Amino acid sequence: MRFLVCGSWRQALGVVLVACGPLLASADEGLEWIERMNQALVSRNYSGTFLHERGGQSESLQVHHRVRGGQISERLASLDGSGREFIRRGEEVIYVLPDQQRLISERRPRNASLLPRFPQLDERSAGLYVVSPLTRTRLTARDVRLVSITPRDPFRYGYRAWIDSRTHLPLKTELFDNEGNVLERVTFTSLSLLRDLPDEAFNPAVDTSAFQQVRLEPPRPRIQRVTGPQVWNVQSLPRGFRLTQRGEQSVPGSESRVPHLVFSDGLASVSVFIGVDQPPFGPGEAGRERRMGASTAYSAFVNGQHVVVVGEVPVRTARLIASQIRAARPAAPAEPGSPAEPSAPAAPAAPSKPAVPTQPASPVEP
Amino acid sequence: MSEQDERASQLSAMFDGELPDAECELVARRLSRDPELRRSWSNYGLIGAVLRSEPLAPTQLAPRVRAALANEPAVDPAAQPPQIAERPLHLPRWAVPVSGVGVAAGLAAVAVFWWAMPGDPNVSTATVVPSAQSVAAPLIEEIVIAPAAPAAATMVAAAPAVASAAAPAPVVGGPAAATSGEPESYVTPRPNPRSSAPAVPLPAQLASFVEAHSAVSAPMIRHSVISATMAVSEAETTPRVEAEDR
Repeated sequence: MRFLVCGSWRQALGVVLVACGPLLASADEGLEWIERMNQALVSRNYSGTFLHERGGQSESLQVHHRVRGGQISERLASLDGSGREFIRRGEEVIYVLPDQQRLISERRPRNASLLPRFPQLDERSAGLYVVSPLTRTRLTARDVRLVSITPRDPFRYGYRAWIDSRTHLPLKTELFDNEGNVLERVTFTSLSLLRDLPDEAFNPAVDTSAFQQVRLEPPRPRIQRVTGPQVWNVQSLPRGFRLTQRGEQSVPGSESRVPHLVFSDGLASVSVFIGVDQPPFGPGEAGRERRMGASTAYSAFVNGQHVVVVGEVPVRTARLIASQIRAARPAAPAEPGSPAEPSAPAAPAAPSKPAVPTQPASPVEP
Repeated sequence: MSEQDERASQLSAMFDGELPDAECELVARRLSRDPELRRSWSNYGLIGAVLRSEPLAPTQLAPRVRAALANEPAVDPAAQPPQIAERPLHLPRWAVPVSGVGVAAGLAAVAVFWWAMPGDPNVSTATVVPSAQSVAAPLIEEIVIAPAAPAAATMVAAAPAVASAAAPAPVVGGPAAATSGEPESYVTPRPNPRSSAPAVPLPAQLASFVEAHSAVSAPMIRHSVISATMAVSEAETTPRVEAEDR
């Protein structure tokens, strides 16, 4: 393997790697703080209340987050009107809708073929965003670092984050378009960093025993497709975006796992689900789009496949990416005897398509 | 090129497998000795990648690594070389050696390292490493934000683990004027300019796609993404669910 050019330092590297992060050519402090914030958000235990403003509306929500034994539990509950809740306990995802007397649950097994991995800022990002110098300031009597990242073109959004200097949790974040219009704002009104949270913190606040229980069934094990596996690729992408991950995802309404491609420009990420049997917008709704705060969902019929695009990007970006999805047959047809591993990446060996300007999802082995 | 830059570039080359053996030794040794250099790399995403990774084949390496780090190790050629798992396609090259480090077992250990890094700002607040068994004092730090009371940010030694539902009055309309980090004017997030897109609640199925995507999206927007999936609009209708469609 190419990365193992040196021999005896490997064990040292193993040690060191645990202590070190990956490599950013830019040592920009602002980006460093964004990374710190991301780490804190996914790895720490906290409870808080925040105000979520978007589209002229605002809503108070409570959040609990816990990582215990590698299992992530989180709960977001609306403190206003509806009292709706989103709860995740490991693989179990629950939507509690008291206003409809309904509980929707779904099992989302962690997918070995697609690791949860958030975008990593790197030198490419520098050409796409302007990162303002880090400002040390105060926000509601806390010492914070203000990081501001402004997009250079309309294919992506900008972010401002007020990051607590001690806990690294964001006390406030804003999402804005490339004209500076603030589209979304999340402002914490209270936040507690905790050593642990009890299981009860992840139970619904209301008694759901009388609720209608709706269970979205996970897809059955993969069915060997008659056509054999296909490799999905893109012809061209909005500037700065590239294919970063390939995997498969179980989505409701599809009998087998569907290919899931992830594109990123280092900050924003876009998921493309291909070959969805049942369009989430409803029948005949190809070409529909929906903005959900920071996220855009777009559904299209491309090359005979129903494609669903979700990402924290403007609609135009989602639309453009969707339009570029192409199927490419692998060089060797699938043998009937070789079972398709459900956990195997969708593209075992990405066929080289010289015209494709995107990089393959993984570094190509020599 | 400053000395630091040079080190950084060496380190980078090493992970990329482009550094000659002799220099690799040197860099690895320097890293193991130089907490400053190590710390400068410590805040990036690798640890996050580990924390979020699927458990890979567990090995006994994690405790070994932990012990080694605790003792501020030098390079020990006699130590057992890490077991290099077959590289998953989706991992960047630099992450590979870690996949041999028994991620499942190493998870807690990694967290420990991270928090306990010398000079890490976390140490001031959370020197007490949140190891799995220490749950005695659940609250590490509480940030109570009340615009009317500027001194409200408090450190509390011990308090109930879960914040009660009684939340402080939210800041509606604008944060305290005293905050110097504010933009000069406060602009309410504008209504969705795409008025053609009706503000109907998400179908449950679309929420599933959003949830699936959230695993690979930036954590900082996750709260808003998920809360958007729960939002209710005036034109509330029954969400479509598979059970009803089939």
